[in-house]
Amino acid sequence: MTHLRDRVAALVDGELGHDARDRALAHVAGCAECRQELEAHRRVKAMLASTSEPRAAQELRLRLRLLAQDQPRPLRAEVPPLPTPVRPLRRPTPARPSTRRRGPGRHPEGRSGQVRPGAQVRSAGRRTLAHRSALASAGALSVVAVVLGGAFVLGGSPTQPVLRPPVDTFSVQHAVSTDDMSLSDPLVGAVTASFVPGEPAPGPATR
Amino acid sequence: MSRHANRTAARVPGAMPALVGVLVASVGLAWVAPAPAHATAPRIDVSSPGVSPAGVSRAATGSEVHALDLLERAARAEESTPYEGTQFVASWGRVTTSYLVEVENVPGRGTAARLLGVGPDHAPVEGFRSAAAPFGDVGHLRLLARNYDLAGAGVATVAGRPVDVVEVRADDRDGDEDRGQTPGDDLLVARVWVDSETGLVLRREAYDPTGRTVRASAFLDLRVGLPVRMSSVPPEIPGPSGQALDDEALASKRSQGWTCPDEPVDGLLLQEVRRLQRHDGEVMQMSYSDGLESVSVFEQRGRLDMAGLEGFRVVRVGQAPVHVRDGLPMQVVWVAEDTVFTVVADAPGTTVAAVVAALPRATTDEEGVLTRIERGLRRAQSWFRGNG
Repeated sequence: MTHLRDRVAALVDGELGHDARDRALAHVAGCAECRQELEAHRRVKAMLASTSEPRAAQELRLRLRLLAQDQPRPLRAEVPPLPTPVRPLRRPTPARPSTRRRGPGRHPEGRSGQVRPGAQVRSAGRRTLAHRSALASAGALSVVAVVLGGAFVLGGSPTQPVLRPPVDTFSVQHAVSTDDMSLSDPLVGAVTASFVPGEPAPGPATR
Repeated sequence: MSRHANRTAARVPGAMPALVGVLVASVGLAWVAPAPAHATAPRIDVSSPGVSPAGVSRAATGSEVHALDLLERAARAEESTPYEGTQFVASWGRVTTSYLVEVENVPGRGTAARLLGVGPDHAPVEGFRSAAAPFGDVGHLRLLARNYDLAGAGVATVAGRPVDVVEVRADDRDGDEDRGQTPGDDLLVARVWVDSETGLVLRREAYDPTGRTVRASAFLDLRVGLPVRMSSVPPEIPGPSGQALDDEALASKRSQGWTCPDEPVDGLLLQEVRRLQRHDGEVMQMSYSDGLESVSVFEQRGRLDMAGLEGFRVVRVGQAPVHVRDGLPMQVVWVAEDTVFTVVADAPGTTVAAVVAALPRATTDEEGVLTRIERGLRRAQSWFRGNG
């Protein structure tokens, strides 16, 4: 069996079917690399479960969506590799009246930012405040980086199964479904396709 | 015998049984209302021949009526004419396949086809289609007449027997740009040779937009009317699996995010939707036809693993990799976000390409970082709620 890769998170979440789970565990028993990855997932899961910030996750997701909207197509564009938490915090549209300066300005952390048109940057405020804000922001940003990084790790495995489409079975199904639909002759096609070894025939519909 | 035959490349039109159950149309059928895009093909109203129903912009020519008459006869011929013979069947493209088929037809019992020389140790590969299988309705013929120009094209000889020729041309009024045809072309897409005496289809050919023959089948020898004794009846080919969905069920599936388009390419209409249940999940099967060609699109939820699927080459459609296996039918597989698409088509490559282009595809080769982060956050949230 090949390395688990994307199936690790599904395994940790108990989302694999019986057979798949057994195979995965059997593999892990003999593979140090996957075992380490499994442990890493479990640690991240435990870590996130011990924090108390579901709202933070939601807010971050909102910000990510706003960020995505601001990106050029396609939607699933690459964001800068983590950790560079500075850019994701910028809101592309003003949410409420504020004392923030519009246009280019200094980022709270003291870097001059690359501001996209229309983007607002949080004002640094007065210098001492800016300094304190910078420290607070740095702390917040590192939390963000950890959470985003953790989310990135967790998100690596969707809950969907891995499929090998039964192409030859589908060909038979196509032949017998469409024999009254065109001038092609599916009988002969169905005859040969029916005898392809390997793929089981599609099961009956259960509902 | 082609070495490709073992790959069961033999999905090439075989002829007679082809039109069986396909064409149940009456004379003067030509002018019926255009087919609405239902999930299942509607029945044709054959009660008023010669009357041009609303929605049809032109009347049939005498030649077209004659052509439809011939095609309609061909369907009934299977029901009433016993015959046995040998066909040569071939397809040309990136992969060339050819084989010989022995066909026996016993009205009231069924049709048997045996591919010669294929299978392990050259054992025959064979199948039987029971006569009890219901004939298809006439939606197909209506589509054919709507999407193509049909015309009688004189007489000829096949297997020593006089035949009438039907030509199928791409509608020259509004060439199908989706499929690489430019407006104004009068493109021959297929010919059918119909036995003058019995109405059986003795030969058929299909052509690509450049005029090259891509599919052909023809009887090399044929014995008609003799009592045909099927000494051994091959295994019966079962009807389609799964459960056909009605409009309501289809709408429900679409609301759950299944794509299931009505008309991915101009003229290629959804004929039927079936739901299959497999061990690895549900499959939605959409069958499309324009009367001449048929395409099935299979949708599954999941991620794609092409391991073990041989004979596929990769092409790029936009940024997305698409796996193609040439032959007849052509098979195409790709993944879009969390949906795996499989297309099986008895159609030229141009049509298949148009169908693929009309369906969702992955926008990038790999998952975007954003997708992954969002999914991770959703997962983390579910843990907070104790769902982990």
